Order: sequence, then structure tokens, then C-alpha cells
Amino acid sequence: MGVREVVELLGLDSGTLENGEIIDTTVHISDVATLRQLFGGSLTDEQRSQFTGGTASSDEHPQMSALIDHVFGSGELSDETRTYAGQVFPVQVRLMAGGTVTIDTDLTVGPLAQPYAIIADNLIFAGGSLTMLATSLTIQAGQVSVKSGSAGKPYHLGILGVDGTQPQQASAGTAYTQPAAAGSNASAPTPGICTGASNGGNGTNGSKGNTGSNGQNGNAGSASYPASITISKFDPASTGVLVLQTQSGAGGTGGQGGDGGTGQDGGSGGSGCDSGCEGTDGGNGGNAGPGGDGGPGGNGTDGINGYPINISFPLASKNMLQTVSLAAPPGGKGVGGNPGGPGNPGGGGSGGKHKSDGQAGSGSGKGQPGADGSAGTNTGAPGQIIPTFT
Amino acid sequence: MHGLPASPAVAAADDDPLSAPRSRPLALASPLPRREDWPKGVRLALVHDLHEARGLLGPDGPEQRAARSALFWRARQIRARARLRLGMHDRGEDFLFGSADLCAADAAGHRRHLPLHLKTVHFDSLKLAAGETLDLCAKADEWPGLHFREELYLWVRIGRLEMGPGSRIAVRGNVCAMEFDTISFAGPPCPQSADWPEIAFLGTPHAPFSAVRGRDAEAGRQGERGADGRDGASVPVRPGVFGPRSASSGTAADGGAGEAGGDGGAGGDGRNGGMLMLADLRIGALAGFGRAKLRVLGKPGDGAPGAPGGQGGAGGRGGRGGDGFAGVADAGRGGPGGSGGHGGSGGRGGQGGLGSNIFVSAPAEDFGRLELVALPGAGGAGGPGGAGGLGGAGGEGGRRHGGVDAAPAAAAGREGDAGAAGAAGAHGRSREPPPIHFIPLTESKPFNPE
Repeated sequence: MGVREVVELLGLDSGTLENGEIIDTTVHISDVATLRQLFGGSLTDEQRSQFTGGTASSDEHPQMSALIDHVFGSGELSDETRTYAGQVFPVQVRLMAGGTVTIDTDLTVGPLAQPYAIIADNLIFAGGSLTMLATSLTIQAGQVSVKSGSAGKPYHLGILGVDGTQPQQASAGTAYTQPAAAGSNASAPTPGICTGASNGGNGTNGSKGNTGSNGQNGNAGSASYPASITISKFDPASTGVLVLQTQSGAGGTGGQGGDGGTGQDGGSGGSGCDSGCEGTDGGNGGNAGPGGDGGPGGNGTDGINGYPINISFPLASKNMLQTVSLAAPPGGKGVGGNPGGPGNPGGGGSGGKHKSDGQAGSGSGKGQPGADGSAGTNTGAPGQIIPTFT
Repeated sequence: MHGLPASPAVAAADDDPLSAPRSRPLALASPLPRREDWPKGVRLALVHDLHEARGLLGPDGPEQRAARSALFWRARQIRARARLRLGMHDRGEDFLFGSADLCAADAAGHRRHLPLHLKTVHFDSLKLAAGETLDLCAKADEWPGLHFREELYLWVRIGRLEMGPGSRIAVRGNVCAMEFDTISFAGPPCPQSADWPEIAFLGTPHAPFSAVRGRDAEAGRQGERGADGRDGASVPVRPGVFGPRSASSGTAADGGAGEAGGDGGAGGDGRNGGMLMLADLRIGALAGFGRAKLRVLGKPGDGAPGAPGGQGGAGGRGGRGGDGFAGVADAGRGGPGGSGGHGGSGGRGGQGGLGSNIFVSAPAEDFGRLELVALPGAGGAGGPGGAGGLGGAGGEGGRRHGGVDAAPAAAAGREGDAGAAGAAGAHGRSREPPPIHFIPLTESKPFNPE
């Protein structure tokens, strides 16, 4: 289909194209057939079959998988899938249509974007690139010209997934809000007299700090989404090849375990009796509580497999198409939480008149660091690039 | 003000050279010399027996002692103390300076103060320049390791004291005996009353022991800021081949309420004013005063102000409402801000210091040359209440994704109420002024400012 036919298919005013303007809008597609026409109208049966065969297993809803297979591949639309499509449609599609579309900047679309369609008589790459992050793409171009490459990207067309992210560090061990129990204060048996009064009580030793929480597993990435690209002619005056690169989403690194909580402060020693004229000794402070252990780190997640990419390219310019497929690595391990520090020793209680203050408690050590989690094990396969030379 | 060792006061040339006013006090070894042989200069001594102390510090003659005992318990505050254990100190002083016997029941308590720590200042003559203040106090740090609150004793024996206009001798919180053969005034015959020389008996520089006001007043702690409310969970949105989508329906979660700020802590109570200890001023003659007077001032310490209450903590911010998704789930409302914490109450002001007897003996004809001024220790001001904490801001309303409009789609939470200010602390009470008794050297003539 030409530009005008596509524009009219979508119910837009094709007269806008007469003045050389670009239509850049969001269109609402309410039925499966129109979407299939827009994103796969130029695909051959063989290309559709290859898409169906190349679709890797995914965690999509089975009916969603069937719907994707029908739009981009050769899957039939069952009644069940048609009913499911009612929940998906209308679908909003970002459309860029015109006689000449020039990409002269690095344009990134996604990851939470509508499907993207470029319909043009001439598609010119002039120092720019187009990166699709987990976003479906269709390009139908009468001719593609490469005048210069992007300064920031190693490709002209990037069909990419979204890498998984690392969760925030798990929460630290709960802190103690109170020191350990203080020693009892000695009091005067009768006002003004400390004779017979006890010394201040010793403070209680602080408890070990609480263990940090377990680190969360890495957040899964998103796949690279289907693309159907049809290029009828490659401009022989181009200065370089057209580079198509794909890589699906890498796994997310596991979250760091929570840090161990600080040990509890030792209780302070109780005050000795102090009547003003005499007194008794203050109690000793409690020892500091050791620091809590760090929580274990979370596990990394696997890389995600990408969806197939169909590209039709002129046979005469076969050498002017370069494809690059990169695997999506699994996520790394989450490291264990840091050990918590010790609490503070309790201070000695104050002695009464002419008596000694209690001694401060002794310090303590740090907790143990948390164990590291496991790294993800499986890489994500790049979406299969299915070239058809015409 | 300065102490005698650093004083520019000029001692007569015939003074012991080791006891020049700028030298450190010298310690006397036991046994102590007799009263009439007491060395000149500034000395420190330990008196191990109350009878020995009685001989050193008390007045001469049974009549003078009897006159003191007759007046000793006249003041209401001193009579009231007699019912407390604190009264053993008064009873001991009645023995030292009056004609009373020791009370056997007080013996154990008296022993805890022995030996008495005595500082003596003994000169044949001393001159105070105009406007000069001489601090004669015995201080606890002059005896290594002595508790700062130990009762200290001061004995001043000066033959001829010449006081310039506006000059002053100050004693802070020592049990004190002062003897002067002659006090002369070296000023104009008709000075302003502000230029009259003064002997001041004041309260201890430290607060008295108190089981409930054991430390200097500390400001109330500031209330902790309330924790922010938890942000409401947004409807999960993820990429999709046919555009972003959400599996949820209904409403995104509202933001949680901000936590209330913590109340400010109460300010500490001010400590009570230092106690004015017994003073016995004995003057053989006053000379050169003209129309001037020798002012004898008695004033215990003022109560310390109460500390301010702590400010209430600010309320926590309300949580942000969760984001919804167009056509699927409404956005959540912002959570309300937490209330501000209430300000802490101010601490109570300390009470004015207690007073003991001040005895002044001089020839009867010199009574008109004395101005006896008894002032109470003022109560400390109550601490101001802490300010209330600010209310937390309301949480922002959630937004709606999936459509063109990304403006807030749900209402923001309301702002939290501010906390109330804390109440101001009560002012401390002033106590009765110390009783000053004039006792003529020939007959008793009480002076009671009450």
C-alpha cells in the first residue's frame, strides 16, 4: 500500500499530503483487520509463517499470544481470540506519514508507548536513529536513504527491549528505639539519709541488632517487540549501509539485602543514693549490643527472549543491509546487606556525694554481612530477524 | 569581682609576706594554733571538732552568745526547717555562734561534715579602693577532691578596714564570721547612697541539693517529625505489543495519612537559688562615715529560670495517591497530612534560695551608721511553652496514565492541623528574706526586716 492508501485506510484526510506535510498523529484502530493490514499488509505468507515459527515462548496470556501471531504472523483468529481482542481494542497507534520523512535526531520511543507506524515515500536517515523500546513498529517506505549515521547510536533502527531493574535495597533491621533497661536508682531510706541504701543497679546489656530483610529478586525486563519493515528501494546515493540492531531486555540484578540493624544500647547504670550530705556508688552501665546481620541478597532474573522482526529489502541492495543481534544477559546477583554496627555502651550511674560513679559498659562488634543472592542463569535470545529480499 | 588572692586590695606593710593578698592560701597543719595566735594572711584549715570550731568562730562572751541564741529561731523559715533533718545544720550553728548545746540526735549528721573546711583571712589592715569588690569566699576547689556542695566556713579577722566609695566585700554561701576592730570610710562626707560601702552576704554559687531538681534545667526535646504517609500503590502498567496496558481495574490506592508529629518534651525545672549561710559580722567601731552608711546586704540566690518546652514535631506529609490508568482504574486520592505535635510545657522557675541568720554586732551608737538590707532570693521565671508543630502537607493526588491528560486526576489530601503551643511554666516563688539581727555590743537590739 502507498502512503495515500494507508492514510485513507485509517480514515484520515489524504489531502494534507498534497502540500508535502507530514501527518504526525495518534489514530484509534478499532478492529483487528485494520491493525493487521497496517502492521502486516505488505508481509508475504512466507514472512508470516516465519514469524509464527520464530516466536519464542513468552509469559503473555495465551490469547494475547494468539492475537500477536495473527497480526504479525500466520495464526488464525479463533472465536476465542476474537472475543479476547474486544478487551484490547481500540488500539492507539502513533502514525507518521508523508512523502518524505527525515530522521535527523536520535528518537527513542517507549517503553510505555503506543505501537509506532512510519509510512513514507522516502525515509531519510540524516544523522539520526530510531530506537524502539518494547514498542511495536511498522515501517513501509518506498525508498530509504542513508546520508549519515547517528553520532550516538551504532544503528539506524534499534529494536530493543527494556532491561530489568534492580529493586531498592531491602529495609534494614529494625532499630531499637530504647536502650536496654537501666539499672535501678538507689533512693534514700529516709529523707536526707543514705545509710543502708544500696548502690545504683547495673544496667542491662544491649541485645543484638535485628537482621536486615531479604533482598528482592531483580525486576524482569521487557522483550523487544515485533516489527515489520518493508523497504522497496534503497537509494544508491546513500553514503552507508542501513544498520538494524536488536536486543531484548536483560534480566534485572537482584536487590541488595537490608543492612543489619544497629545493636541495642546498653542500659545506663542506676544512680547511687544522693541525699545531699552522703551517698552510695552508682551502678555500672550495660554492655553494648552487637550489630545485626545483613539480609541475604536477591536473585538476578533471566534475560527475556525477543519477538521476531520481518524486514523486506531490495535484493539489488542486499549488501546495504546490516543486521546485528545481541543476546540479553541475565541479571547479576544481589549482594548481601552490610552488617549492622554495635550499639553504645550504657553509661555508669552517678555516684552520690563522696561516692564513685559507676563504670560505663563495654563495647561490642559488628554483625555478619548477608549472603549474596544468585545471578540469573538464562540469557534472552534476540528476536529473530527474518530478511526477505525482493 | 575577684577573690582575695588576685585582689588589688592593699595589705599593710607589716603583714606576713607569705600572706600577701596575691598569694595562694597556705594550708595549716594540725594541731591548729590557738585563736589568739592565729597566723596572718590567707590560710586553709581543717577543724576536726565542733568545740574547737566554736572557739574559733563564735563571738566573745556569754552575753553575745545568749543574744544570738535568743534571736536564732525567730524567723519563720528557720523554725520550719527545724522539723526537717536540714534543721541539724541550724542547731549546729546555734551551738557554734550561740549558747545552745549540741543535740545528741544530730551527732551522726554533724560527723559527716567533719572536719570543717575553714578559710581564714587575717590582716592587721586592709584597704579597698573606690568601686572595688573583694570576694573572700572559701571555694571547694581550694581543697582537692572536696565535693562542690560541702559546707565551707570563712573566718575574717581584720584590724583596720578602710573602704573606698562604692567598695564592697562579698561572701557567697560560706558560714561566715567577720571581725573588724574598725571599719572606716575613705570617701566624701556626703556621698550618694550608691557610693556607700557594702558587705554582702549572698547565696551559694551552686544550687542546693534537691531530689527533684538535680540538674540544670534543660530545654525540652523537640518532638520528632511524623513519618510521611505511604504513597498509594499505582495500578501496575506494563508495555504491550498493542500499547501499554494494565491488568488491574477499580481504583489505585489512596495515599496514606501522614503520621502526627511527636509532642515536644517538657522543659526542665529551674534549680532553686543558692542558700545564704549564717553570717556573723562583728564590728568594733565605724569611723569616717559622715552621712554615709555601711550597707549590710543579705540576699540568697535567685531561682534559675525554667527551661523552654520543646517544639512539637511537624506532621508527616500525606502519601501521594497512586496513579490510575485511563479507562481502567481511577487515580488514588492524596493522603491527609499528619497533625503537628503539641509544644512541650515550659519548666517551672526555681524557688528563691533559703536564708539563714545574719548577726551584726557593733556599738549601739553606730547603729545609725548601718543600713541593713535583707532581700529575698527571687523566684526564677517559668520557661516558655514550646511552639506547636506544623501540620504536614497533604499528599498529591494520583495521576491518570494511558491518556493524553496527565494532570492530577484525584484530589489532594488536606493539610494536617498545627499542634497547640505548650503552656508556660509557673514562676518560682521567692522566699522570705534572710533575717538580719543587730546586736549592740552592750545590749541586744534585734533588727528584723520582717
